[in-house]
Amino acid sequence: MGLPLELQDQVRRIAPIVLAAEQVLPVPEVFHGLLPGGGLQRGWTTRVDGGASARALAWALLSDVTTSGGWIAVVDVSGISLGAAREVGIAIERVLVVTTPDSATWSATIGALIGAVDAIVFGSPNHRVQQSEYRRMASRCRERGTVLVELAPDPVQRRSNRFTRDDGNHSGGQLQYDVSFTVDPVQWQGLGRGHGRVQARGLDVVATGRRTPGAGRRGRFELPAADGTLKVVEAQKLRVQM
Amino acid sequence: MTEVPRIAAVWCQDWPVVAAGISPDEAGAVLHANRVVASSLAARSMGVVRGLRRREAQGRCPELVIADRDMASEARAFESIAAAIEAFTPRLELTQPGTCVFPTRGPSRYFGGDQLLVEKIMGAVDEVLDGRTTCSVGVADGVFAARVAARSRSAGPCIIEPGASPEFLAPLPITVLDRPDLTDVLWRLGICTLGAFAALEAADVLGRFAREGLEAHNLASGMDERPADVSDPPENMAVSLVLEPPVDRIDQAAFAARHLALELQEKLQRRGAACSRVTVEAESEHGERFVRGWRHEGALSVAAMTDRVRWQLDGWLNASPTIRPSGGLSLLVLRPENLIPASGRQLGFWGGETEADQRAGRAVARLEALVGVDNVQVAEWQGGREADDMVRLLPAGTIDLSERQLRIFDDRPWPGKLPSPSPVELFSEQQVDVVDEAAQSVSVSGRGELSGAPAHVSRDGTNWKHIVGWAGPWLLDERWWDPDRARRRARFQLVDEDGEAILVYVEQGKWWLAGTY
Repeated sequence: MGLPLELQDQVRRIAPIVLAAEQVLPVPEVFHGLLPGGGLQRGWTTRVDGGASARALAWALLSDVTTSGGWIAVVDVSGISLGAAREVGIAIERVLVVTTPDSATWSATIGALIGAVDAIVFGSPNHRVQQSEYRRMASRCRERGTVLVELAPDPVQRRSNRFTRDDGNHSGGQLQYDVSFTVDPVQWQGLGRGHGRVQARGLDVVATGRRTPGAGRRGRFELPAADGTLKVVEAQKLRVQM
Repeated sequence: MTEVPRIAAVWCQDWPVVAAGISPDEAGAVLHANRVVASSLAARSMGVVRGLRRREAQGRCPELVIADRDMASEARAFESIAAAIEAFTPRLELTQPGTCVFPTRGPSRYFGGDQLLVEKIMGAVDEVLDGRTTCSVGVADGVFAARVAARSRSAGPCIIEPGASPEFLAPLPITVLDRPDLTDVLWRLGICTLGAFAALEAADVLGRFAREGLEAHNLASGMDERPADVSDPPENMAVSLVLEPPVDRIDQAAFAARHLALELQEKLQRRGAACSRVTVEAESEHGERFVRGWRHEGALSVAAMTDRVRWQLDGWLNASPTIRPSGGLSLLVLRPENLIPASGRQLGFWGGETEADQRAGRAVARLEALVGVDNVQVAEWQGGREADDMVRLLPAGTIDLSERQLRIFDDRPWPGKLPSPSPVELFSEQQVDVVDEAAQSVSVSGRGELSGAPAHVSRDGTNWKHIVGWAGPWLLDERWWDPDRARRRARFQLVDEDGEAILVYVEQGKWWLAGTY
């Protein structure tokens, strides 16, 4: 058994030498061209935007985390489909699904999960969250090495649900994301007019944010491809438009 | 050979049925995992026996009243019986709701022999039972023989003379050991009675069937499963929790129970020990003390211990007013007894429970307090034809997170399931409109013929989208025998002009949104 757990935790946090690989959550190889450093740095805050397909991207990004023994938590994501998550490679036995009953417990819930799981996927909260609170969350993540993944609300729902405030107070403007992924557009393969079936989902993904130099990076992926695997079609750095 | 203590076992017949509130002359059965675990006398006379499937049971007895098994309510109902027996002996141990055992040495001497003691106890228990069922008492050497003796009668005493237990057990079929894996092999080897099994050399049994075989062999020879640990465990092995403010709700008590069980398990693990008996002690804010022991065949896991502590606390808090604590519980103590060496759990290739699993487990405990037990869930794969069937979400608190890592997914195909990819976002109860070029709602006939090709789709009735690709219908007709869960629908995949792919279905002439890809 060795040291008590609390002590082990302390040792890890004050240890002077940190191996670079320990500080990066593994991602499937196809995303290496998209992410600076080839993985999700522990402690990053990220956002995935682009409707339902953004979820597919989030699951695919996190699949290697769960298969290598890590845990992810999913907080307040409506209509979660873990069957689809499993198809892109998530080990669903290491997924915690948490629902917060009211807005008062939201930040305490995220706080309890930071440091306990390797990545937290959360739906954008419907209530207003203080900017200082976001900053506190982000700095705690950096300290404890948990990656935050915010799922931006589905644009279709945002339009239809007029009670959701979308006036710039939204968290998108509040948190400085380390990496922000935008999925656009989506091409579907395999479906004809009255025949075939949905087989492959082609995604153009743009990664921007503090951690990506210049205008960011763009990649075209198939998640999944027609044979059920994840594929990268091309990945490139974007030039800064003068 | 160590002396085997005299034990009495009290067994209430068909306890799960009684606890479910089914009267003995009513045909009723209690089911767990679609199998009958207990049935009432009336049901048994019509052929409803243990192990039948629900459908077979209903086939044999159409008016059968069916209840799902609820161990907590069984334990709660049994508390009044336990309290009645406790008037005769303080050393009562519950093995499972409906059965309890106690050593008879002290009380027998006091009441003038086993026979008199048993009669007194049966009188007291029958009074509490009030005709709901019958109880039987077996007295023999060792817990196993006493339990078998009690179960050999449907009512009345069965007293085996000291030293006569092996002869009593010898002619019984090997299946009373209740270890299906082992007895199945023995049966095929031609060893059909406990006597034949006991006649084998213990060393040979150990060599062939390892530890489990030896334990069973001990039972068959009329000894106890393992020699009782005569030395009391050191006092500091007990764990306690002061409840401030006092607790009188079962959900709060259950939370404390889980916490204590985890702490005890950790303490035991550090010594390389496990316990097969745990004593639950509680003190109310007015100083009343409640003590009850629970025993288990093997070592108690955290989940098993939590369950038993929760049942017990539930039983006390919801007992009849005469025996109920007059205030909230203010102190909880778990005392491990019968320490045995931990034989260890089979760990995964990379070391089983990792640090990450432990951290997640601790986070679950904290979150349960924060958002409620039902709002922290883990997924369990169960497979199914529709995306919302494939994975079941269960409250994380009800599952031993470290043990379920070892499960393997059953990946056999589901005929009728749409091929992957599955929708990533699921919807329920959301209607959509799908129309053809002539703006007529598309309908599907019973044979799967469409009234027209889908051309436009709208989620809210106003915002119409042009359909650029579609496929279907894939017909699904499942669970037609169960009106609540039956599904008869035709599924379609649609891609609209914005590049959004959705899964929709027609059921009862209406279009519904199932999910978005």
